[in-house]
Amino acid sequence: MKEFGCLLLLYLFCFPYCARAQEKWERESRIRASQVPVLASQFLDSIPDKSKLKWYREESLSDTSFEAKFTYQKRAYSVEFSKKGIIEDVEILMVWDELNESVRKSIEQIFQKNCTRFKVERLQVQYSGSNASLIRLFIDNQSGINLEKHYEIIVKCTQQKSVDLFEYLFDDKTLSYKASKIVFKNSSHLEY
Amino acid sequence: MSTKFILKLLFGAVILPVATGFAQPEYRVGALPAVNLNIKLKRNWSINSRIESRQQFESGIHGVESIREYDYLLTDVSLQVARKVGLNGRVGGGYLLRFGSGELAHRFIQQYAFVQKKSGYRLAHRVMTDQTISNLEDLELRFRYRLTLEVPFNGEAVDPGEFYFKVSNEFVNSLQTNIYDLENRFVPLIGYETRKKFKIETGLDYRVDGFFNQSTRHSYWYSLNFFFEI
Repeated sequence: MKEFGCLLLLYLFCFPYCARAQEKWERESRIRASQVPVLASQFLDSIPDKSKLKWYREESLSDTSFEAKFTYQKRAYSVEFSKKGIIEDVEILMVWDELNESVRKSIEQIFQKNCTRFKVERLQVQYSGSNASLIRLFIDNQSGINLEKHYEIIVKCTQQKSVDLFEYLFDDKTLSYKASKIVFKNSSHLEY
Repeated sequence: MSTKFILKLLFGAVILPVATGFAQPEYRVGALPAVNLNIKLKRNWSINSRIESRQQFESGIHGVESIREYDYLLTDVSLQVARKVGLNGRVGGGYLLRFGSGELAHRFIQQYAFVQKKSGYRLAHRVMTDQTISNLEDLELRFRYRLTLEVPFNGEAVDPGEFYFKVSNEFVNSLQTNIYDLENRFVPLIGYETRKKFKIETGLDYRVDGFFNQSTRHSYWYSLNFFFEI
């Protein structure tokens, strides 16, 4: 036992495991409907025939937001709200082939340029705008009127020396985009 | 793969060996404290080192005799170098030194692990081979497969400051002097991730071995793991 104790002390002192000073901290937790801001609740109440509604709170060091995930007309929706319950955007999960052909081909050309091989893992169409315009998405299905539209795409991208997941956010009109690499959560406790 | 299927697979893998194992009810009870350090390097490389001690508090034969006595059994110190392959896989190899109770063993390890992120949980697969030489025993060759399920207590993924449940089942096939044996390890743990890249896990590490040589043994270890990440 003494041997183990000595080794453990040596082990802990040999490796400087002090955490870095500025950590990015985010936490998503499932919450009850009663914990949601009234405005957000009211918005969701106005959507007819939705199902599988789940609420989440997303916290970071600087902000808190709320997200509702549900199914509406057989599609997966995600609606994000500010801390006060003001709607920020609506995201609708889509299949890659459902995307307008010319838009799809233009985006594919960008992926071909950035990756030696690619595979689209997930596509969400994101709408943002006024509260009234967003509610029309659900009531009369008039998407695109007075709304900003973006495509949020998760792509598996093979480059020369690595394979990574990227999140692209494309503007619908100009197809200008922002790309960010998705960093996986640490998994050493699952591997060793 | 549905969650139900995974749970069935995990429990099926455990119940069957336990049921067959009751014929020869030798047992031991103890603790397995471990400290694990993972260091990320450039270009997808990483180093993992681990120190684990095994201490026994009780042993005997179910219903016949039991000996309550503290016994320090061994300590393992290991170092592995690994490289990320593909999107979420890792290939690694390393060396483990085991000592205690007059034994000094050297183990060479090769492993491949990959992690699948699903909605609300993560699944990890690990395939491992190792070769052990020791001053007391003949060469032992092992082939292992482990399936691990991680489920956060809240939300879609484990975030800093949150608890999680981790359960794994591993089949350890071994060959020593032409004698084959199978060991099954079932490990349910509760874990907590702090805000500073540190995790602590505690729970049971249940092992049953000796299926094929008429000496089935059940081991119940209290497991306490510390994970540090740099």
